[in-house]
Amino acid sequence: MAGSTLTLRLQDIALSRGGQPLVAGLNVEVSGGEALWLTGANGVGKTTLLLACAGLIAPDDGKIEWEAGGSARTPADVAAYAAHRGPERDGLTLGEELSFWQRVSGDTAALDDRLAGVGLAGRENTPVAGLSAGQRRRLGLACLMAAAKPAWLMDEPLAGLDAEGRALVERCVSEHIRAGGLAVIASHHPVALPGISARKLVLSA
Amino acid sequence: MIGALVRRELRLSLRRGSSIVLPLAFMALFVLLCGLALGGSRPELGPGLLWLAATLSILLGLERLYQPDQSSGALAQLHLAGVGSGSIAAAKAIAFALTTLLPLLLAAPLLALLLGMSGTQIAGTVLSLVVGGPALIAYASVSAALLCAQRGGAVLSVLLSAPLLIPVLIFGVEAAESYPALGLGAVQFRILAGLSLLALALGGPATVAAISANRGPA
Amino acid sequence: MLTRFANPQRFIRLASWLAPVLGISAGVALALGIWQSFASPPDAEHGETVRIMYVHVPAAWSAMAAYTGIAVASLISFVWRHPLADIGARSLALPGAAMTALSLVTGSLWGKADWGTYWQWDGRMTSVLILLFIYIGYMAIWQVVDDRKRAARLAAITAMIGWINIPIIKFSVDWWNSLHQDATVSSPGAPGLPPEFLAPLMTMALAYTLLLAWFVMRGMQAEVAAMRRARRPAPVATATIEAI
Repeated sequence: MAGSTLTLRLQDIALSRGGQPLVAGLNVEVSGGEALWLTGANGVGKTTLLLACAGLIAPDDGKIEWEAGGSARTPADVAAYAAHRGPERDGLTLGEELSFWQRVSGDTAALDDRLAGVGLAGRENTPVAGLSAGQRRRLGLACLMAAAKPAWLMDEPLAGLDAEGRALVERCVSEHIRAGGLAVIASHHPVALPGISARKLVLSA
Repeated sequence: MIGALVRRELRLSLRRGSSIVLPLAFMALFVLLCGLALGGSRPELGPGLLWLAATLSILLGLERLYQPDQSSGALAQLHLAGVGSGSIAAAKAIAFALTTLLPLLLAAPLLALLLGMSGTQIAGTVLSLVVGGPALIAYASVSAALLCAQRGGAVLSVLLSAPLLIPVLIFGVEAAESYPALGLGAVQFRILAGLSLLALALGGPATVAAISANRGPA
Repeated sequence: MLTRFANPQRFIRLASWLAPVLGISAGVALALGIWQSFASPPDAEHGETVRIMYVHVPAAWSAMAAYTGIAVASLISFVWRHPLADIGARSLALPGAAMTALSLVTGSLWGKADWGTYWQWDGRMTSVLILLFIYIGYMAIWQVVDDRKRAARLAAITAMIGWINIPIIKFSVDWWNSLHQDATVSSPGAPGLPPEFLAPLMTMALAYTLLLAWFVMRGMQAEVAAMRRARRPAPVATATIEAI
């Protein structure tokens, strides 16, 4: 982990989706060891904001800066993004999919450990097409951990999960932040991160 | 890295067998229909028909080249994981060639027999497809990458790639036809090879630029 | 220098007087060209139908020129990401495609009159037809891609590849044509044309160029105005930050 010098700075951000303005003049700064919980009604711009932080779309106005170790970074240097829907393709098995993303991210952990870490032990031969929504969410979490980036951008990480799964996500995020990481989490459900410095960004219509 | 990407693509194609069987069946059906419509064996039309069949079945595969990885967000994830658009383009092109062009090349001699083509004619056609294949793949890649974020963009991809494919088609057929008399030394083969190199030089950077423009969500 | 002309404010001021000037001079040149076309003598070989040339040849020239303009503007848009460059490229597309269609239609009418057929697989005609498809593809990208910035990138890439390919297409169609077609009846080209034919041709070429420039100016004006009018409504959401 890059330590506590990691910073995400949003300056005067204006965002729109499909020509529809969502939010303007947004300023916020998040540092390593801290979580930011994005919340608000559907369509208010939570996902758009995450995408902008990940550098996958450009804000209409303003600047998004990532900084680590005192120098500016690109989102791809420091951030991992767990989208609402994972990148998995039907036709592969869980093991093939996860080990592909491990390989791409240069993750050296054993596949079995990664699977066990998200409660999917022994399921490497399950076809991706046969996974439930909650299991896909767990796969996404495993990919996020495999990416080994200090900043986590998570879109609805708790949706579709059972109580045990929600606890798992919250535990993983807490551990990540305690290790000096940063997390921006868009979620309808309250994210319980006991003992973690967290703020709530409410987008309200 | 490219190796891992190619393996993933090949796995996906092989699992879903239809993506290999479909172009082959399409090509066989096309030759069959041509044979019936044109009145039986027409060896003199063979190179043209086989080139046409190869081009059309490559266009048929455009939609599954980039669109699934775009819509699932895999292109975005690869970018965040630090995989360059160049590696993605190269891996996709290699896998596409292995799953569409290679089966077509293997099937072409059999189909050529249906058309009553002679041995040298068949050899000329297969060789011209090998030499011109990179150009087909390169232009298919660009046009698929340009519209991968558009729902139903595949039809427009075909419209975009057709003008680019015209020179390849012309010289591919010319090279195949000149092979029995002139062999591989024919100037048409050299021009075809030139077109392939040019297509790679042009299509490579353009595909990379198109992937970069399209990796965000639609 | 680029930024000097690329400023939208400056463009609006420039266009406000340049567009009428271009429009009026295009009208004058067109009127003069049409008068000259009918005043010129009929051709020894082609007879009265040579007058089609005064519509046809400049249309083909300006179709090519418009596409070159699109490619140059696309390069500027791609490298410097300047919105005015892609507005320019976009505004050139429709008039350019119209010129291409006009040159195809007049070419085919001329072909009917002279060669007795509406269509010859002649290198020039075939490549102009392909150019029309390239235009259609280019315009379709602007049409289907909703996100404006992305559409500009993708259209620019398309325009540039298309432009590099045009000479190759021309070369290959010529090659194909020389093998597969009986030599086409020679059509009068510009070089070596006697002055009484050259004068109306050149006037018409000038008129088309001015017309094209006028269309583009008007198109860009309309686009820039539309972008200003579309000053976005207020954002729907406000953001508040709370400690948990």
